[in-house]
Amino acid sequence: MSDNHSQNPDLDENNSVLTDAAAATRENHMLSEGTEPISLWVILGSAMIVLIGGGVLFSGSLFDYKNFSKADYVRDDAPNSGPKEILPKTAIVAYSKIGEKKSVSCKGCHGNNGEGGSAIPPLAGSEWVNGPSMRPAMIILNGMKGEISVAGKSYNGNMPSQGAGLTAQDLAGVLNYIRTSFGNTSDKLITVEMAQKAIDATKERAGGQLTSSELNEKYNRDLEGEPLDPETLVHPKTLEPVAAE
Amino acid sequence: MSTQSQVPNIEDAQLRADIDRSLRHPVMFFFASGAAWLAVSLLLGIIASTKSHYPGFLGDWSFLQYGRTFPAHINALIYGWGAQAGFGVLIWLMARLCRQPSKNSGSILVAAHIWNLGVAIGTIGILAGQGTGKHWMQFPTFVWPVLLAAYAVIAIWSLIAFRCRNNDHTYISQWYLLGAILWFPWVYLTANLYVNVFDIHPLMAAAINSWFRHALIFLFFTPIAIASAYYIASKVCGRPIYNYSYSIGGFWALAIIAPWAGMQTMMGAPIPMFLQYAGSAATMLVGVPLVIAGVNIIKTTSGQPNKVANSPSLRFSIAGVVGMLLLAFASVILAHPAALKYTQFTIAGYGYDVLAIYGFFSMCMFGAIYFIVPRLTRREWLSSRLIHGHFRYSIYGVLFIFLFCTLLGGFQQGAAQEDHTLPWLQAVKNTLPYSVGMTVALCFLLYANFFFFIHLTLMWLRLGRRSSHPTLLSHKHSALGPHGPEGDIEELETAKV
Repeated sequence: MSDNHSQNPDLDENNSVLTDAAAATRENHMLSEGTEPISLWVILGSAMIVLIGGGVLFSGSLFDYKNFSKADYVRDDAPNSGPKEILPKTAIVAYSKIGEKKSVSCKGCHGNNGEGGSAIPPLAGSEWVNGPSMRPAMIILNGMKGEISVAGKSYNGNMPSQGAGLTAQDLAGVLNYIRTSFGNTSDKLITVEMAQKAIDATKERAGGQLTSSELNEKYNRDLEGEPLDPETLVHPKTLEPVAAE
Repeated sequence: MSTQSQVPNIEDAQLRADIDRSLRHPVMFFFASGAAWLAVSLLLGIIASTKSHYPGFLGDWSFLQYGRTFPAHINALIYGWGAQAGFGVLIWLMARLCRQPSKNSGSILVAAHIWNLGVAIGTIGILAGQGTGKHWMQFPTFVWPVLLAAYAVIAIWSLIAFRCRNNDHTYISQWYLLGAILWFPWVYLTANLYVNVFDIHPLMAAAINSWFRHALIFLFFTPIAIASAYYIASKVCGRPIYNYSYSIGGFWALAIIAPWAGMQTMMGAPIPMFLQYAGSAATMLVGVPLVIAGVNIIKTTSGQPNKVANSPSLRFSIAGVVGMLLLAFASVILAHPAALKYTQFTIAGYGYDVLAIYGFFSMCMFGAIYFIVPRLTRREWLSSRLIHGHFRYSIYGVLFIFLFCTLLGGFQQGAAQEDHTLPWLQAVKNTLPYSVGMTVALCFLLYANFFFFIHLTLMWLRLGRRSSHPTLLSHKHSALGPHGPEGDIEELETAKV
């Protein structure tokens, strides 16, 4: 046979494919592809993997960007660990959290930053909000109509009562929130007990929306009770003051 | 194969021999230096593992601390052994399947030296305390562009060979090899850019790092190993692939599913939940292409138990395929969120990596090396006992690590960590027997691979047997060996004259 590599002897004396590249010579040819039927077990096994994998993939919402782990991943509470201790928060944080939640209906008309509108007076910088605390409480609970002058401007709107379903806690939260947000700065917080006084006063009233003259006559005063220092530590749920440790 | 012609087709044999000759230097260099790195890596692994149950071991030497030897071990394993064995098989197999001798073995050889230099500097850097601390990227950051550039020079010629191939048909192994060639730079560049270069949120960097590890396994090591196993099974058995359309389906399933895998290791971390759960589901679903390929390869060899037992290349490849099926099983078990709760922070992850890289990938690579090296050196393997030992101790080591560390040890350690009533030390104590077992298993692997390295080096020095008898794992020689008809070199030479 012809020897292509004889002028280039990398190997020993001679360079026959048959003898020197014996391994390459004895190789089988690669054959064309087979089409033998694959057994049912492979399909069943694959189906099982797909089933388990699909179970993970479709195990509820995966696009919840608030939580990073699912309930079945987080480990169970330790046995005998007891109820979790809730850490107290400062009063301003605890009240504002409730107030912010409830203030959605305020913001619907008064604006997200309390800026008001053409017919709706602002909350920001309003003497009615920042002044004696009885007046804003009564406005929230009873609503208001007729002419009112706020921050040197006259408005003539109609605010329905927001009192339905509003607890003393909610009312205190909302009042504290609007009196410390939008640039308003009140250094005295209204307690739950004080808010309860406004709810009681509303019950004594016959009902109907208030006017600015009625407000100035009857309710131009602070809510009765001892206001709270914003830095007092309170329980975040009950808003009860907690003794500092 | 009674139908097979006894007279070999000289032109085919000549072409095959030409291809083998053209690539013998770079491929042998990849294999031999890879085997050396494997031995080094296992030695470092033994040191690291010993420290986990005997902390004072070699405690006076700072460069052998656990925090340095362990990353050095895993990086030498990935880049020193895994990648180099993969490159060797990749370029040889691609040249054979494209039926073209390589014209660029010189530049590949240079790039191979650069790659080795990069790995050496990186490993020494880790031991000197300059590691980055990012899993599988612990080499000092200046190393990765060097490796990537070397890779480009190594792999580009296989891409060109495929483009200019001499036959129209694309064999299934070529699909997988092409996938590996294109996926490696994508995975390696993306991960290194995001983790090492761009200023992204560290949590996302950690998530990308865990994606990188799984992508490297499923998109680089896995396709090369499957390509080689398909080739060896079909070649040695002289049979077509059992079901070819299934094998193509398996390739595309891998290509679609595998890139999603990985981020489940970040489960519970504040990264978007769909990343964690898509990673978990994809890692499980990767089992499907692995099962398809595994069954296809095993079915191709069915009915020929003698060949599987006797041919070292086929025996190692089939063992690797069984390792692949175990990997599919382990993926389904370990990536499930219910199991991750226990195994996420345990030795199960390391056991999974060892199963993927040694039990599956390396076993397939050994099979390919036992097939390729006699063709490159034109010498037969010296000793079937050395091959026997290599096989046996590899199996012992990998099974030990898989059964005791990945499954039992991982879950037991996880359960102990979950138990609030026990101090943390109890979890460490529960893991102790498994840590000792891991050291023993790594010793088995080192023993196997030390002799493999010696054997391979002797072959590289062309000290193998000069015979046309393949070295088989049986004592008696059959008339038709698994590698084809046999013949004595003297007989053939007299016949020629």
